[in-house]
Amino acid sequence: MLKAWNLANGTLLMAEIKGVILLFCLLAAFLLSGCATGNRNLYHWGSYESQVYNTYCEPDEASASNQIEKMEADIEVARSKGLPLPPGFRAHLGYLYFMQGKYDLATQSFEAEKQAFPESAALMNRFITQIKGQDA
Amino acid sequence: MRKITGLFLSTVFILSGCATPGPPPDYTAFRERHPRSILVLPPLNESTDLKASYSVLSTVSKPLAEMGYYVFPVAVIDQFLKENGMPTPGEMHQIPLDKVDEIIGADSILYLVVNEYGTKYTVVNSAAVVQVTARLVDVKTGERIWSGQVKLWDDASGGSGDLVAMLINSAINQVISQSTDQSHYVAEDVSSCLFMTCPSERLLYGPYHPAYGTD
Repeated sequence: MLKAWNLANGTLLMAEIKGVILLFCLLAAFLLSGCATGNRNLYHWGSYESQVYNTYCEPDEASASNQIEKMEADIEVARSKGLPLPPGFRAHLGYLYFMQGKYDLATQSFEAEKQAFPESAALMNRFITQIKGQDA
Repeated sequence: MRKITGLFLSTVFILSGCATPGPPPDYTAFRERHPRSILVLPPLNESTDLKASYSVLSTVSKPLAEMGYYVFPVAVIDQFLKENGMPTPGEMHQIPLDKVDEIIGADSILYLVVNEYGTKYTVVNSAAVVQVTARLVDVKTGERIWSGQVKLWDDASGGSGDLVAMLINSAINQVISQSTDQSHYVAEDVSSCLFMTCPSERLLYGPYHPAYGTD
């Protein structure tokens, strides 16, 4: 195809064709890479932020059981996509379990938050100690 | 040869779409203290819309975390502070830094003010406007290490020059904006612009981002 086109034009040199192909490749690579770095998300967000929004702005939709159901479903999707859960997700879920009196699940979630993000350790340890106090 | 020039020109044109408006902010203090974690306090609200503070609060975790920071769970923090004698954002913004260090263990605090939030109506149109001012403070030193301000609006104009069509469009848009809280979507754009995508404002990459330390 390229050869036929070359013959028809007659004037385009082989070097120029190579140049054009190289430019096309560079352009394609540039377009594929996108302008901003990090177009792909680091985390699977699922419904986390809309749960936060609903808690304050649509409280009818934000009962603890309703939120837990959605967030547990998010965990499955994150797992299937192989993406980690975002910062705060497990702590938020743990807090919902805590509100429902599910202290074991709450403790597990706070531990998981600490495991995934050691920056949260001081606060998570505080919550876990608090649960132990309530449970006793 | 003309074809090749054309290709060059089109590449330049595409590149110009990513050009940065204005000089980048001064990151000296930021680099010195470089936080790993950010405690976001519920924003102060200067607008007349009661939803403004928490609508904006629910849009900041994603851009901050996607920039590579640990973001404390915003709703849990809000509840925790309320239970500890700070019922309003105004009181939360007064929390002593040594308490934050001791009890929560955060490296930095993000103080937000919602300057504007809501739909502005004119005869023929309506626009959702959101403006947020942000200040990031190092917990150990109390030093301000970054600040930014972004204002965006979503002009709901249908783009038609016909006045009757514009009026009808305006009526429809106003109904839609009331039912879906259009301002909330604008708030999402404000947050991602402020922390992530706007070159004149954004944060440096944090420790969980693959590009940490390269900017």
